[in-house]
Parts: sequence; C-alpha cells; structure tokens
Amino acid sequence: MSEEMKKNEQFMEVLPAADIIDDEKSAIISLEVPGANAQTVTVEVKDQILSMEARSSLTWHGMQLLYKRSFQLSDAVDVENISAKTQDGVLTVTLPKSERAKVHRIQVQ
Amino acid sequence: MYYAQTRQHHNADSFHDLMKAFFRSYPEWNTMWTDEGPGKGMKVKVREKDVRVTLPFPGVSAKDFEVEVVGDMLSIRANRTREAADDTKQYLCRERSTESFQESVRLPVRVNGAETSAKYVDGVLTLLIPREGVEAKASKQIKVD
Repeated sequence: MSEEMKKNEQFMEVLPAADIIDDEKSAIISLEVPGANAQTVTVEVKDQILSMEARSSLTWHGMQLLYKRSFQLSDAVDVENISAKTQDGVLTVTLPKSERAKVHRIQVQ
Repeated sequence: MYYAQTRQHHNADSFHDLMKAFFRSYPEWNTMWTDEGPGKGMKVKVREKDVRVTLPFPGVSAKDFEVEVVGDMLSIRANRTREAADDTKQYLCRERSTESFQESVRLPVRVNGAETSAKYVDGVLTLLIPREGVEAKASKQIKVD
C-alpha cells in the first residue's frame, strides 16, 4: 500500500490470527483477513522479513481495518519462490524450503 | 422490555455474554458490550429501510451457513466443515479458530424475513433484511390547494 493512502484515510491496525503449517517441501502461513481480497493485499519480503498488509472492507468505530503482520524468515526459505493467494478472507502464503532445509533421506546400505 | 435470546457454544454462562444478550436488543445504543473488537463478532445495524447484519467468518464457503429469520428472530449458524481433515498436519503455530458459530438474536424492529438477501464475500457474511412497514412512515408531501 502506498504511503499516500495511509495519510488520506484513517485505519485501525489489527493483528490477524495466523496458522503456520510445516509441510515437507514448504511452510504455509494462513492469515484471517475478512473483508480483504487480492486487490487490497500486499505481501513483500525485505531483509529476510516477510510483511503482509490487507485492507479490509470492515470498519470499527468508523475506521477501516488494516490487517498487518510480519515474520522474520530464516535462510531455510527459498525467498524467490514465495507465492500468495486470497480466498474467502484467508490469505495463504506458501514459503518453499530451500534445498538445504529439505529433508534428505539417505538410504543405508 | 425483552431480552434477546442469545445462544453460543462457548462461555455461554459468562457475565459478558449476559450483558451482550441484553444489549443486542438495542443496537442503537452503541454499547461496548456487543462489540467484540475490530473484525470480530456479529454486527447488527438498523438502517432506514433495512437491517444490515455482518459476520466476519473467514475460510468457509457459502454452503456452510444456515440463516433463518422467523418473525423478528434471526438465527445464524456457521459450520467449519474442513477443519477435521487438517488435524493430520504439523502446526508450528495455530491461532485461527476452529469453532463453529451459532447465535440467535431478536431484531429490534419488525422485518420482512422472506425478502432477506445474503451473500458471502471475502470471508464476510452480509445479510440485508428489509424492514416492514417503513413505506407507511415515509414522508409524503401534501399539496395544498
């Protein structure tokens, strides 16, 4: 979201509830952002910090809700291939594990 | 005076829920008791021609809702059907609610329940229930001859 928008409108910042699932090949973060969709969500990674912002259509005491949360990433995440989608008010971010962090099973002879 | 009959799955006996049940009948008072915080809980707003009810309930689909309007009584039930399958996954962090939602509330105005429209967009259920008899109250200009 641009800095300009923040100045023009009054937002209520809310910390969204999150689930993090550890999968074999990736970690999946799902955040509850009711009232937000792909057009109002931004996801970015800077200096190994994953930041997510979602502008919601919901209001609270006249202020528009802004869901905001960030996570520190380890170098076990393949930052280049992070993907995100929104559906039914849930933002799902998939963080693929880097080759180093994947489980390698070694056959014992 | 009447009390709204509110039923909930969790903490049904708490003082907070009792106050919430009472103040639900008077949405125009705008009290803190019915406010569960930003982005949470059912909100009932009585407008000029209709009653607007919103319920943020992300991560389900339209078919997971059961909405009923009988007289001035509104009942909403929202089920989380997909959560059972997720138990096999390894959670590093689990904050999202897995509870279903059920609440019944007596609306403070007369409504035409049959004309209710409901939609589920971006994780928010929105109901528009037209008010009954508002046309009669509408101002009418009378020409003086």
